[in-house]
Amino acid sequence: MTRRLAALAALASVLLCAPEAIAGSIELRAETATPVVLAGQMRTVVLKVGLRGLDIADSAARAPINLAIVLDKSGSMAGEKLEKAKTSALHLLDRLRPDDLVSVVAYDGRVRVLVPATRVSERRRIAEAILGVQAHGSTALFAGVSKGVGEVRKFLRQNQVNRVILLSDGKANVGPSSPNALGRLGAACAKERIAITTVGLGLGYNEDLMVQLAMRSDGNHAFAADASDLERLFAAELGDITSVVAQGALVRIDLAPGVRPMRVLNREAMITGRTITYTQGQVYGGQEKFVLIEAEVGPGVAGADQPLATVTTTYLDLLSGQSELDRRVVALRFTDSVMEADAAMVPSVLVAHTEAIANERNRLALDLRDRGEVLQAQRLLQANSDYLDEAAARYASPKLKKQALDNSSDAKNLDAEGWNRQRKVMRKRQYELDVQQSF
Amino acid sequence: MRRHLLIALICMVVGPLALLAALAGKMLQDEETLLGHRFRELLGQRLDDSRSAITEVIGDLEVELAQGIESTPIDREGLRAFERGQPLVRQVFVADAEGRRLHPLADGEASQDERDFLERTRAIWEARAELARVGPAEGNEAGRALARGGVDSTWTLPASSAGSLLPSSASPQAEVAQQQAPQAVYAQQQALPPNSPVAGETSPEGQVPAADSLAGLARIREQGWIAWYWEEGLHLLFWRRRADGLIAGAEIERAALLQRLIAALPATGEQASLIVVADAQGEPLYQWGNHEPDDAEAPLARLGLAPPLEAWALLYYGPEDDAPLALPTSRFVVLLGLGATAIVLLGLAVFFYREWSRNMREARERVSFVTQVSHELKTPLTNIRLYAELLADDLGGVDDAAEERAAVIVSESQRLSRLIANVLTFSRRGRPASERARPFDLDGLVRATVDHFGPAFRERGLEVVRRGAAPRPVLADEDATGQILANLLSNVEKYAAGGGAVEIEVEQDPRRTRVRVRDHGPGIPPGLRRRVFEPFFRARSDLTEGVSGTGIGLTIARDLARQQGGDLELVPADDGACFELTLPTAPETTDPHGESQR
Repeated sequence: MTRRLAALAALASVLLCAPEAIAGSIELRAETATPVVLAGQMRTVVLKVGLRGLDIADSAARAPINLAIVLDKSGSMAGEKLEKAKTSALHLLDRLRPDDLVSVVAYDGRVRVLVPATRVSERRRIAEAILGVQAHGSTALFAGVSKGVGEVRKFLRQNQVNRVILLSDGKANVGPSSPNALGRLGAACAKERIAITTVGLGLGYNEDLMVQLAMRSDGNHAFAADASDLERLFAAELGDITSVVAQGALVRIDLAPGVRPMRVLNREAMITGRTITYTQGQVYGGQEKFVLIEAEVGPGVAGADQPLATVTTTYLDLLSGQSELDRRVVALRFTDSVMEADAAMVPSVLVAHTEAIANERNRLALDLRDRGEVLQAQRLLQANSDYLDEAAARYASPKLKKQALDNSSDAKNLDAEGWNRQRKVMRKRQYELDVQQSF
Repeated sequence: MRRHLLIALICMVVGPLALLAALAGKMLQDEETLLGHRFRELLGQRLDDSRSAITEVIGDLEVELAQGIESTPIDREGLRAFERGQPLVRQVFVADAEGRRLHPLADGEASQDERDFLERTRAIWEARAELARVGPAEGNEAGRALARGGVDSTWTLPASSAGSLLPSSASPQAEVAQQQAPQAVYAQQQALPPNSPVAGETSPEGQVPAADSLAGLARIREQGWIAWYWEEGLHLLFWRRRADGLIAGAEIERAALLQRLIAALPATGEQASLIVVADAQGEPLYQWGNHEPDDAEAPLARLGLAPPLEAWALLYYGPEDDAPLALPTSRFVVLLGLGATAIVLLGLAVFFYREWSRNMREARERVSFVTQVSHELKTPLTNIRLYAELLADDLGGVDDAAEERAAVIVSESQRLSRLIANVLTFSRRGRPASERARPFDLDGLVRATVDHFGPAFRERGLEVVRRGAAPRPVLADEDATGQILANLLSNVEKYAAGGGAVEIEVEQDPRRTRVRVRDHGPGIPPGLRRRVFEPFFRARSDLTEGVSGTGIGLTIARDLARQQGGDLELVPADDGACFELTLPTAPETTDPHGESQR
């Protein structure tokens, strides 16, 4: 009986969540971890909203790319770092199409536009400029990125992927140099659908700044401890860039009356009343990026169905060049039966939620460590690892198992000498988990 | 003499040179000032180009924002969508014509960003009195000062936006009236969720009308800027009075504005200079060029940006030798001219000096020759005189005619002796006088000298009249005094024989003894009185025609008188010439015989 009920409930939820139609190249996914909840009590439900780009089978069909490569050429880049950066950039060129646009900006304390926005078909000129870069001077990161963005903005078109790749190994020391200032720049760029991918090289860069810049502009962030990693990272980045299927996705989640939003995990979102909005600048083919919303639901009457949220997204489909709109409705069902409720649970959402919560705690531990409270940070990370272990066993999730191992390894690496590196590793992982970065 | 000439020559060279150098220096300085001015003007122009680029970005931004603000529907969704689409807009706001804020409101529908915005801009919404007080001139300064002082919530009205036109209607009464006005329409206060972070603090804000001075500004102007400082620096707010009377505006996304400015400004290429966009603290926001200034290097030029960014400035740094190229060449030309003049003047000076030296040497040689000859003449002459006198004695009473001839020989040889003595004395001129002063009886000397000239005077019909006497001896060299008197009497004999008489007057007081020799000859014209003591000067050629003389008699006489602490002067007289010789009277103690001789 209960099994049948559960099956019915599951069917109902599937029906309710079912896509009205797959119109564009994005699949809008919205599901709650607990489609069936116990009646008669206040509850917190978790809603997962994600955008998944469709795989592009035909690479020729991908959107044109407008890319700016911003290279740090400050004195600290001298030697292998700069050489690897140059070869990686050249390999990047090889994988672009002739009609893609590329500009190259190099900065130290001053900024040089080595190649203004140019078609990749003029490869020789671009390569010469890249190979001619020599390391020297201080770090005007803001100005370098600004010029890079300026080059991209010269040919800003709707149906193209606009991207700035920033490679830096040092702390910004000329011009605005706080994580917040760079974050604001990122936010402004995101409005024009220019994403900035930041690659931190070595152990000298400011990971907070680089993460902020990437996060606010919806780009990727990568940490290359060694210059030899660069090639792989650039390749992965290019993989992402070439797989963009949609841009400027605006997701609006209208919670049903009686449902109160509490927080949004994984991504910055605007909460106004019962409405939550967030934007996702780039939607990559074959990748799902999601947010988790925790909301409070009032006590319901058993047997009653109640709408939870309506999720709407509008985006620019790069393959068709059209603006698309998609909508999902998520509903809740109240029950008296614990078993029915448990049976209806969606493990994948629960895993995602656990992951996000553990990630929050990992962030908290990093803050504690920043304040010098090493022991407390260690304790928190260990507890986090245990929490993840337990959940991994419950949901049989290797992903959570790995995260548990990462956390327990973090706990062991909080001592002073390795902290600089460890902090970069943690920030990178936190960001990776937040935005579900593919590399 | 030589020293004087040297000094004169040096003056001749140095004087004009110094004058020329001063003039050239002044000229160069003027030129440098002028060139410096022109250079700065040039730099200013270069900076001006960059400022124009910035002003253009701001202008475009104003147009873009104004259009956006006019066309955006005034509802929350519309405004938020506007924000989402505008990279340069961080937050929009709307107020009604009275300045009461309609959006954003800190109610349950407000997002966290909107609450943050209200916190950032609280000064604008609350401090209406300040808004009215901050004038156009002081606004900027105050803002800078406060920014330096680290006060993060300060804001100011830049000159462009505020103007001096703040409404006088913002009187206290009006303010109070507005505060008390019913707020029903705008009090969209809702019950905030209990965990809303700023619910407690901000809930009254929804009811408070917004700054009325913004409304006041909007009554006068159509649009403008408000600048204030918050955390990381200058924040800008653009507002515009819409066609429907609402005041809408936007907080500018600082980072995005800076990005636009940087993109619009040149990148570093081959520029030898360095141009820096600096914020109010002088920190570089962006810079381009290849010049590497030292820490202490001052900018060659500075140009403030146009409003609303007047707190920022463009600074020009450059290598100094980039400066006026014309200056070194003109300096070179001037120095060359000065050098050439110096060489010419020096050459002239050397030439004159050598000429003068040669003349002097020749003169010395001549004098030396004459002196030697005179010396050679002295001994035979003494013998001639001696034997002539002996001869005259021998002939005395034997042969009157022969005796007279012998007397003439004596007289002429005496004259020759005097001449030689004068020549020898003259050749010793300038050397220190031998110290031979001792007291002697002046009257006796005068008598002897007059006796000496007796035959010659008698022959020429000159009568000697003596007056006065020197009861006490004088302290002087007797030989030298004799030579002076002889020279004076010789002159009388030569030039004033026609006068018929010569008066010799002696006068004595305890300190000085004066001998006046006066003739009644033609005298000396007043204009020449000064020059009669100059060597080789002869008063009147018509008079001296046919009269022998060396022209050094008076010179020697005066020299000798002065060497003995006395003097020889030409004193004015009715007719003829009157010379007065002054000699020191011997002190009483030193002369015990003075009394007995009297």
